[in-house]
Amino acid sequence: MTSARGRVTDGLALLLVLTVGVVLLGPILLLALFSFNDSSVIALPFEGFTLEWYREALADPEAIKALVNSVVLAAIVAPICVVLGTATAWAITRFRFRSRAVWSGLVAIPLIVPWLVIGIAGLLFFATLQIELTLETVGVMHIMTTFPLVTALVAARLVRFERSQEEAALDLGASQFQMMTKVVLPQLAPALAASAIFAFAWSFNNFEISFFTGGYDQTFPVWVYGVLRNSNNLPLVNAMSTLISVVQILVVYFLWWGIRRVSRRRGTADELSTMVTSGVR
Amino acid sequence: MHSPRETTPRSYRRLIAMGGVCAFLLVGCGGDDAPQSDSADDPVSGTVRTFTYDDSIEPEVLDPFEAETGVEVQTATFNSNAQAAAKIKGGFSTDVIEVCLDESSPLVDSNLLAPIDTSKITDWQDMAPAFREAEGVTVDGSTYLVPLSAGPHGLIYETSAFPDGVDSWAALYDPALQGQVALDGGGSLTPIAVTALGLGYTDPLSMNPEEIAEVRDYMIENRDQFRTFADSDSDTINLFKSGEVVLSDGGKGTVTKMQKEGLDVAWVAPQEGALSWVCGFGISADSKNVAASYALINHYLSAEMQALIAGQGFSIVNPEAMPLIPEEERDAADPAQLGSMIPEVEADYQKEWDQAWQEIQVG
Repeated sequence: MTSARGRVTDGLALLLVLTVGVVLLGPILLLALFSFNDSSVIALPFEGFTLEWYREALADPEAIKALVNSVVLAAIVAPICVVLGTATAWAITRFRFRSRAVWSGLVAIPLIVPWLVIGIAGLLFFATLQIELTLETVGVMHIMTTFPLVTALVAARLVRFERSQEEAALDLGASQFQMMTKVVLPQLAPALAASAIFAFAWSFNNFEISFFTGGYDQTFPVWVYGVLRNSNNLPLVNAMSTLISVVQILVVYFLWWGIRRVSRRRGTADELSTMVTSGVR
Repeated sequence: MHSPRETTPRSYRRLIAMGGVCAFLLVGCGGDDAPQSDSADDPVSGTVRTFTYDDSIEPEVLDPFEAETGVEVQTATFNSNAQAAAKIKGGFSTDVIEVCLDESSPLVDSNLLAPIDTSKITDWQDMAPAFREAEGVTVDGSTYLVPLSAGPHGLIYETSAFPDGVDSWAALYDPALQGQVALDGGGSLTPIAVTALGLGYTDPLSMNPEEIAEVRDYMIENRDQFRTFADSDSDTINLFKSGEVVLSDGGKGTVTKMQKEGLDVAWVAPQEGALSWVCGFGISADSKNVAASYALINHYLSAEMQALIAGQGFSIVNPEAMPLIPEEERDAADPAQLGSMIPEVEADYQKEWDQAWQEIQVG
């Protein structure tokens, strides 16, 4: 009876995992599949294999310009957010001061307020100050909305971090700098890596804030939203999105691989799941 | 042992100071708001900024303009006039704005468009009167929009399923086709309007709230008639290709795309009248380069550029371009066909339309 019940439970668990997998990954896999379909119509039957959409996408100057804009923006925003977010997380978790709760609440606001509202607020802010809308204004807003995410991820890790290790390092004669670089940062590495990935992705994927606070240099999501009005562009967007997804997966994989190598050298065992969930566990 | 610090760390103060410096620098980076031209009679030069739908800023149209005038064109895109109005009202500055008659009120009502001096529009008198005089082009005596393209909206059907063709909007509600019909659901205007036309209303956009409610109730009652509400022309194409539907409403350009894919479909203007969207360019009330804005509009309205616009599957507005259009595109591009159609403008009771459409969608 028990084994029969166990088999049913295992079956249900497998069914649940498969359902979630299909719902989560199915649309992405279909998108990738149809990027090789020799038809501009995204529907079965499959008309044949082609790389034409990739060739067209990579030859489209507007698509490439928008992609470069987004990559450069995210590449600048992510490290700034990691530094700002980590510093804020350190301040909130390691210092006791009267307005700590207020600062913590202020930092959390961008995580709660809808991006659409933040985008419009940013637009009004820049217009009031007569600042021309450019990629820089988009970047400022991305930093404002993304570094609180890093703060949340790193703070969660810091809260679980044994402070006695910091104190032991200082008691044994380490300077603040040595304590930070030799004790704290190595422990934070998975959280920082995960934060960098999330910060990059948040900036790269953002549409609402980019649309309202951007000027005449468009980011990739804004370009995609604009061109999808014309169904002829759908295969190009599929091809470009597939390429981006592959690159993102490779970046995450190599980051994980690098961290695992470093962790093994240190004698710890940080895996991919540790890196991704380090801040939220 | 180190006790927690009780005071604000000095680094915080430094951070706040740095933030202040950054804000100051940002303010210092403010754009130069000095107008380059505030009259259509000024020499054409400098930079012109456009805020349009993406498919209106094709390089083959803009490149000749830049080459001929030396004016640099900066482009930004949106996906609806309401979205555009929100951004412009928030402070976004631009020169030329794309405006469509069925969604122009957020821009016109908020005074975001400058009146256009039609004497400065070179081909204004050559434009088909149906466009020049269309409702919404001129409001309270001021012209806010120069029409540049249009598109008829009729019935799309699979020819093998209708050997004798289709000629009425009422076919969308034929019980024999239950579950094999799609309705363009990209907004409230077309689904309610085509249903009303099928029910016998001759001027659907002027329906009063009671009439709108009657159409709404009819649509809710017959909700099972439709396989789905298509969000875009690509949705419609996919539904026909997968064989899920045999009849839908949609644009003539959509059928051209489907036929290129080898689908056995046809487009017809129903006997009650086809609808037609009309879009064009207006000039921002905040324009910093009025002369270049007029020059760009004139460029789009020229016969050569209208012929290029026809290549996108749209109807053109300048008949002078017809001889320049390839034979196979002339039927879809011919502005004469739009004269007998019902222009898609905002309905008299637009809020009621939007509310009714929401109720229809949730069934």
